Amino acid sequence: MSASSDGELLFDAPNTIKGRLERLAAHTYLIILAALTAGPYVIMVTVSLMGEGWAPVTPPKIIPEIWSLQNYIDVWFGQTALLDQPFWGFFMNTIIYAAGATLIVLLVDALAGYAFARLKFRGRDITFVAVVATLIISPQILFIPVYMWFDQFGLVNTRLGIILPHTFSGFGVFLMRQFIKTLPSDLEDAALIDGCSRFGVFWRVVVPMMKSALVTLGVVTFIVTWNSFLWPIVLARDSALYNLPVALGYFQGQTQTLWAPLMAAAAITLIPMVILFVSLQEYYVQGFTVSGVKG
Amino acid sequence: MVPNADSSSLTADFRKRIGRVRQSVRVENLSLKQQEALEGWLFVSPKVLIILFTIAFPMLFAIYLSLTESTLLNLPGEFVGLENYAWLMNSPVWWTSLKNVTLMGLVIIPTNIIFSFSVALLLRERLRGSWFYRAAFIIPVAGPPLIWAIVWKLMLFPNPGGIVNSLLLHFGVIEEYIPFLSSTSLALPSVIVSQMWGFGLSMLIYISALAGLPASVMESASIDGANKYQKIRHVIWPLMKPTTFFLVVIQLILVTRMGFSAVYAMTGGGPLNSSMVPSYFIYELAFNYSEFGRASATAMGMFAFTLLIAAVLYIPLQSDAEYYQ
Repeated sequence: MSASSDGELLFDAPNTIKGRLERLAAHTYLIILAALTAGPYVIMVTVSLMGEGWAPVTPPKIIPEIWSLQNYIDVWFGQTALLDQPFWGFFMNTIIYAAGATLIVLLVDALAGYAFARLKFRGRDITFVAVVATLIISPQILFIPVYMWFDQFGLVNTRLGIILPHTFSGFGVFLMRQFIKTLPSDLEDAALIDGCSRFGVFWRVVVPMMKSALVTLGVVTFIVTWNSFLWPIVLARDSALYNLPVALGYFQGQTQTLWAPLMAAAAITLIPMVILFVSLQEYYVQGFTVSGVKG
Repeated sequence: MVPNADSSSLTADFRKRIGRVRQSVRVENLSLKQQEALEGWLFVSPKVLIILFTIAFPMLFAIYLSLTESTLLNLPGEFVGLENYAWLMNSPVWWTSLKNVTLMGLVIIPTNIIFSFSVALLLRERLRGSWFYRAAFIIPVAGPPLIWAIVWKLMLFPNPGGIVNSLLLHFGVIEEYIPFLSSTSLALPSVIVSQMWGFGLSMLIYISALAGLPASVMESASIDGANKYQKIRHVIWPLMKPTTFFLVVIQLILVTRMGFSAVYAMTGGGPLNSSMVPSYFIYELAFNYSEFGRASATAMGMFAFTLLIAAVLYIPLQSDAEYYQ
């Protein structure tokens, strides 16, 4: 391998003994770490593939004797013990919550980020600091008063009520503002002078230029809402409104845990997010880099 | 809509065109400055309203609740002043939970930096299978923390189903099964170890920072005869300081919510509260004991702890302000 174009490598050339040893050591370290990060999910999948004959032991053996997708089918259509409704309903709920929160966050945060980056108005900087400071507030501090407050407005046990707490984070506004600050403002000025309204400038000029930042924020919001557990369990009284992480509780009964269906349900919850996160990782990296979040 | 205006001509006849703009805007009796302020507030108002509605008012409500004796059936209950705070200060569980979450942060934040930096550095060497490694390290942070914790609970079972015990027994490290999660001395360390592997996001941020490493700096280090260790120690690591600083600050600010899902799914704070963390303590007070007043006081205590960390961080953040523009 010849010298690289983007910065030189630290290791010796791979055709020398030293270079080979260095690579062997690196692979050993990485494989051990990968076993610890991905291994648990490999176990999750093998347990979920236990065939029908699985003994109801707690916990089951890790390697199935009969491999089968039966657990997935049973969980999806709600034919497992302890489960009173099909899992696809929870799957749809989760998509609605994640998509709803993502749409609201993208629109609201991009608008606010644009104003904080470009417009001058009294109280702007202090408002921006206040919005970003919401990052220090964790859901565990808020869930009791939010439940009681939402109850006053009939938002408890509604889809909108479950979506709302996933939209308050100041992270998106910070990301959008930093990103818009890196864009040249000439085009916006030109559009303004030609009589375009401020919202028209935002919608037709700024939004088309910030695709990678919007994808980054969209993916982050979608995944965080998909994985959310505390808000749905607090705000959904009705099991018909549960999302996937909350619905996992079905398999953890008072006396026993149904490990094989539980692991199948966990895989159904997890796999879409792994695909989304891994396939869009370039956007993450780019979004963080451009917005200066990395420092 | 957008004219193909060249920016130099813009500044040239900017004054001339201002008049036209004034006529084209809808609100005629406002100056441009006032108009901009109005638009600014209009654009940020949806976010501000969401924050007021879901954070600000509930926070005020939480402060009030923390001063009452509220339960599920008596909401909000009668005013008791600072009684709940007095109870909190005298609660050994509260102090244990603070100690536990501090210990968790002291282990998890440094290991997060070590793993993510070393992995990003190694993946820069264009090793075979880099794609696989990257995906494998991202997986724990993509899914719900709850599922991660449930699978670890399964792995730590003290019987043949628990792979950790099975492996340790198989290789003769232990003589009999260890009850990792039901021992007061091992529950917290087990929870902490299970939480050490979520470094995928930090890794991605380091990878993007390393990609921006100036090639000239590395070359001049080579010309000066620096060896690999010296390059990492004296060139790359110092250049990564802003990134490292950012990652540490973010994790410190989020430290109080660390371990909620893990404790919820793996130990329930037990045995005998030995693995309790503040976030789960609030949950337990509210859900298992329906002590909403005490739970609210505990939430305020947790908030105060976060504020304390933020205040301590404020000093280095100010002096390192040049990194953040």
